Amino acid sequence: MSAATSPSRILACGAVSPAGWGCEALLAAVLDGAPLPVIQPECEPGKSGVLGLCRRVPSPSPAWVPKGQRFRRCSPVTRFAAAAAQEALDRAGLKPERLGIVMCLMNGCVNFSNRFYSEVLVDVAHASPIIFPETVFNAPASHVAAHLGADGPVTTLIGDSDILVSGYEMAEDWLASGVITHCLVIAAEEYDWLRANGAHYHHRGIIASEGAAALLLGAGGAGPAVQQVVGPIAYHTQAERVQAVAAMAQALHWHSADWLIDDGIGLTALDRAESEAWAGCSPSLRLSPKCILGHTLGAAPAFQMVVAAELARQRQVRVAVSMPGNNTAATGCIIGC
Amino acid sequence: MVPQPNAPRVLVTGVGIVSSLGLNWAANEQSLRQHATNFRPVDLFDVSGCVAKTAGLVDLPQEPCAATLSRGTRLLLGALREALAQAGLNLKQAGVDAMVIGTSAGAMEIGEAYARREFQGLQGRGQLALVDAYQPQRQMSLMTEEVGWRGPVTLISNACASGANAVGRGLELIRSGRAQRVIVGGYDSLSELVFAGFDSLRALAPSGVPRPFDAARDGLALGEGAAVLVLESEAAAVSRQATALAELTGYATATDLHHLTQPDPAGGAAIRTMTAACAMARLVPEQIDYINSHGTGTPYNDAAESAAITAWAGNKVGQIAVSSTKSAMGHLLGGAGAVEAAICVMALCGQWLPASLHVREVDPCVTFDLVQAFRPAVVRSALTNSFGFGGTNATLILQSLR
Repeated sequence: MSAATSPSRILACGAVSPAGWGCEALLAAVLDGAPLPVIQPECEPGKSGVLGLCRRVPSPSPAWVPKGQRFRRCSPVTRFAAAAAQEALDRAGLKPERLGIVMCLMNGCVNFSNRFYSEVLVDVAHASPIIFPETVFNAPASHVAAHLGADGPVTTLIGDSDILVSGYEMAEDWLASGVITHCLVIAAEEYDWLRANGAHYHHRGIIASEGAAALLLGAGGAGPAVQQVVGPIAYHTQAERVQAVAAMAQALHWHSADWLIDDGIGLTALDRAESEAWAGCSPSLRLSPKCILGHTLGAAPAFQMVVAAELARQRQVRVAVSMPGNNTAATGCIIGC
Repeated sequence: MVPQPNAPRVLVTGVGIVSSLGLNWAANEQSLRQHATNFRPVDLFDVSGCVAKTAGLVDLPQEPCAATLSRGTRLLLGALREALAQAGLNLKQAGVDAMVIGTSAGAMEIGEAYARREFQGLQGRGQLALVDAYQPQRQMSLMTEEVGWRGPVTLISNACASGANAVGRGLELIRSGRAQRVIVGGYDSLSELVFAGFDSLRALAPSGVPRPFDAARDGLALGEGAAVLVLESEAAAVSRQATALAELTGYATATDLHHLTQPDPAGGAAIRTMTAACAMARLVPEQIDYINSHGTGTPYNDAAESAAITAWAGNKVGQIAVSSTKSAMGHLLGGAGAVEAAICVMALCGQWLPASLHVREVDPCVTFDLVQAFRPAVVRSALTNSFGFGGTNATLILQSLR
């Protein structure tokens, strides 16, 4: 698709990750480059075993805990998203009256889905009506919207990493139309043993992780902007994925960037497409958040974007972001001031 | 919404629809004309412990397609094929810029199969295939491979407003200049988790018969199905001499912050979306001939929607015909908004109004012209509302080209 001309800017960011609560913890961990400690999770009583290691978001200090009626029984993914969103707004010093929200997820509220479906299988007549609404993909967006008073456009996108760019473009269109003045583009995921086992079937070396990241966009103002978008380039097979990532890399103006933030996870089989595509890029210029944080599914591209935006803002550099996707589409972008 | 005077017109050049009423436009129209329904006992999973035991089930044909396609994706594929045929589009050749699809549950039954095996300790190689096929974006990739298309698919999941939001996003993409031709739609199939969820909420009508806007309505009936619309800018449609069925002229979405599952009794968000969609379409309420309501048949929803329509239309409300086609096919969740937009196109093309079935005593909250029997009518402008869990409200406006 052709890009609409937009003056939108990334006014501020927020993040909750295994590195801690806040953007600075995320940025410090990624720049440090040392993988965060892993843990062997335990399975729920009566269920089968957990197959892989994980990295979890640490417990927050009280200041980071989102407060409000909607958060009393919400899922971890909602709390992560709310905290990241609030951080972005606080860092920008804004309380927008017309705020839009685009929430990007791959798995969503999998803890509650797991729990509710377990109850259904045991005795459907006693399955909890309180839990079921929390299993719906857009429950986190609803809670965050209620917390922030965002009664305009609020939407949830589900899919591969390309949805972050689709969500970004959606936010730009809303800003350009004037229906909102600011928009949060958020991506979030939570850990669950069912999900972790799913990742483990793909590759035993995957370390499941969790967290959320938020980009606050405004129509104009100061801050980094997305200067180039390539893709989404769709693919149907893993062989086509290699070609799609190569095509994305070829079209992306990464030679003019100071950094490249890739999607590498440190596993040769999974990193093959990017290894080939970015063979010409010096390793010293590359950052690989997944190697440090683990695999956060839908939140992973948002961590990349937040790191890129913060580097662009703090160091006045241009940053290329490579989002090869897991199974459907490859996307790339350049962020700069 | 800031007026966009130079935004291109958005035309609907193809429609496909699959529901419990039929597998295509003609079958659905015939059922709507005849007040037919197809609510029957659910046999896809065990409902013996549920209060409700019926739903609007689709008789899915055995068509050649990839074995890994979920039931919902097969419904969508059927609608896609019909829409493409009607639009005269070959996806291998046509310049389709994007697909935007709404779903609430995706391939839930595959996720359920995966979870059941994990719960039972059956961790093995078959699980990888289920993990892969469960992901909604992977299902869309498999579906687009079936029709020979490769391009970006955006999946919107705003519960029961997903389909309407997908149609609306297609409008936005064309009006913003990002795309010239977009395929939009929505789908959902019945799944055990979702059926049990609505049952646990006591949102399903124990009788299995939904009675939207009836004074004694007692809940909704779930259904399943899909609809696809081919949207083109006027220039794109003219360039290939496509025949337009209708024009998509208005869209707005807003969020009801009242509660996760219960609507604001005053329908504030719905008033805002109907008002904003009309502003985009440059219409006033009395120019809307027909509203395909969200009309689920739950006490709270219908009262809130009635209040919203009454407040929005003011003293002209009595002129506006309203019905709920969920009374005939059930609530299609993520598919509902797209299916109901498709029905609006059918009504505009055929100049008729579908009925709200099963009404015994009209609720006093009804101030509009509740259509209780299929009837011919002059339909120039049709509006459809969709409201979802989480508070997403969406309104679409379609207009006749006659």
